[in-house]
Amino acid sequence: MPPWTVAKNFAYTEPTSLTLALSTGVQTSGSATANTMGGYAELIPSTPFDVDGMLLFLVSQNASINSFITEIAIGSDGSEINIIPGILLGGGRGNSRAMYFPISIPAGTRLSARTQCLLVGPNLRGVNVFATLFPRNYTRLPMLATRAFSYGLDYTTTSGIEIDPGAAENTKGAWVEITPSTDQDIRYLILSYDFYSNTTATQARMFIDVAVGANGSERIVLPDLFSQLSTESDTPHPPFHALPVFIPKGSRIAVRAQSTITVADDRLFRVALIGV
Amino acid sequence: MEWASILGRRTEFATYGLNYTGTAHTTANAGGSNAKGGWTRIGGPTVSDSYGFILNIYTDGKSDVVIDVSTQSGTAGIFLPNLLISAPSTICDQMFFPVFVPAGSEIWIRGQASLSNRGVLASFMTVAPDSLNIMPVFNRCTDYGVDLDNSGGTLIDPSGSANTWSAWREMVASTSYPIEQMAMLVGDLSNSIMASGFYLVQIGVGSAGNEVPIFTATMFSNINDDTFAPRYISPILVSLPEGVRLSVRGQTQITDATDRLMSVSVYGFD
Repeated sequence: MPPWTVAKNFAYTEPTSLTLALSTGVQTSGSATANTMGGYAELIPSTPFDVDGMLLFLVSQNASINSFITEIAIGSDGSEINIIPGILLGGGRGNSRAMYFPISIPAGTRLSARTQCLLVGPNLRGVNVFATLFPRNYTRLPMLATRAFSYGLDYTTTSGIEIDPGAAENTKGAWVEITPSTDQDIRYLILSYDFYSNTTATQARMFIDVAVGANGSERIVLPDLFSQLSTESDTPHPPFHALPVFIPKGSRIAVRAQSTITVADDRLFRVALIGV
Repeated sequence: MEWASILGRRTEFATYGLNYTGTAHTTANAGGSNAKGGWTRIGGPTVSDSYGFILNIYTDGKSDVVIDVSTQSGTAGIFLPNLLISAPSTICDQMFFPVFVPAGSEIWIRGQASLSNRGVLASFMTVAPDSLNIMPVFNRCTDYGVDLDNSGGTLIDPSGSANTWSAWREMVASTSYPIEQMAMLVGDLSNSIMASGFYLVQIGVGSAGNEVPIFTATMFSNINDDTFAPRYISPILVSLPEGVRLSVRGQTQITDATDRLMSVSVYGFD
């Protein structure tokens, strides 16, 4: 339980472990081998209440370019089971994010996280993870999931599926299939992306569409998500939030984009999705 | 704008304020010297009720900016007051606010900047009701901790001791309304030469000397874009009655007198 008395009608949240000596969360590090998961790091040994929502923070450990995949798991040490598989944190250079997951977790559950990365040089390999847990009585959410599903991740490159806005500027490119069939009904969708760890990015603005439906019959559910590729940080912004969109189980999901640039390499980016 | 209807459920989002030929946004004015600029219409009328409001926004140069979002060219329609925006021209923020916006609404924005006049580039998305069946939405947003004299939030100075909590700073002595959900925005006092490091921020409730933390956030200073990441944090699911004293404190690895500073504002929804 939290180390304070909770007054009536006052909600409380429970933080997972902090590394106060560094003013951050739990440090997770990728393996010394590129594109290989590191070990799990414990976020909290036992959730103090039935959790009905989690605000998850992923924070780059430094300002260097890199791409990461971070997984969140339940279970005892050595028996972890991922409940949030594969969050792509592309770009590095401070591309930290906070994401809400409407996920139920029973009281007494151990939470942990692990990470892999594309570049494995000294001090490059880590993401700090922290979560705020919301107790059941305060979230008032009518329907919740017990796990999330990821689509489009490529663990061999710590990335996603390539999207090409095309050679015509400010014109939508072709649809690219992210998954032929979703595993579950989706009520929250999170889009993550990277730019091939491009360290010499060209300043670009993009509109990204997410659609469902058969090839040639795509129907847009998230129109014109706006993104900028910063030449200062060589990082795509913003980190998209969990957006409340309903996509039924078995749906094909595709993505397309338009861009202000046509530079052959710089216009390319890679996408992965998380459905809750 | 395109529409989707999936298994009889309306799940469409609609986006307004875009310039497709330039892949760009509508630009509103944020007056310099901490003075509100004029109103600019971003889009609308919206074609359906929106159960949530998604704002895409950034500024055309380095400066913390405080913006109002209204359904008309005037203060009477403000439904998102005094949002603290700390996204310079190189990057964009996407913010989700759990507020209801009725069909037929126009969306107008005005802002104020701590430095010289800034352009605020914005678009917004509306959320159809069947999309948002897992999260309540609200009718009112109330800002706390905003410092309009400096176009920022409540100043946190962790002092010269690294990784040590600052003193609590009061954001409001007594909240005006209950808070069912909360959003938090973080500014950097228009610091254009930030240092790299980690930060923690806590929101607390309770009287002076008896603050109880109800929420913790962690951030990293993005020295390339010179801003914090993340800067926008929502939703924070709380249940606070009206009349609560809110305060904030922080800590960081950084001890430099300028780079260690943060400013924080919060927004209560009920």
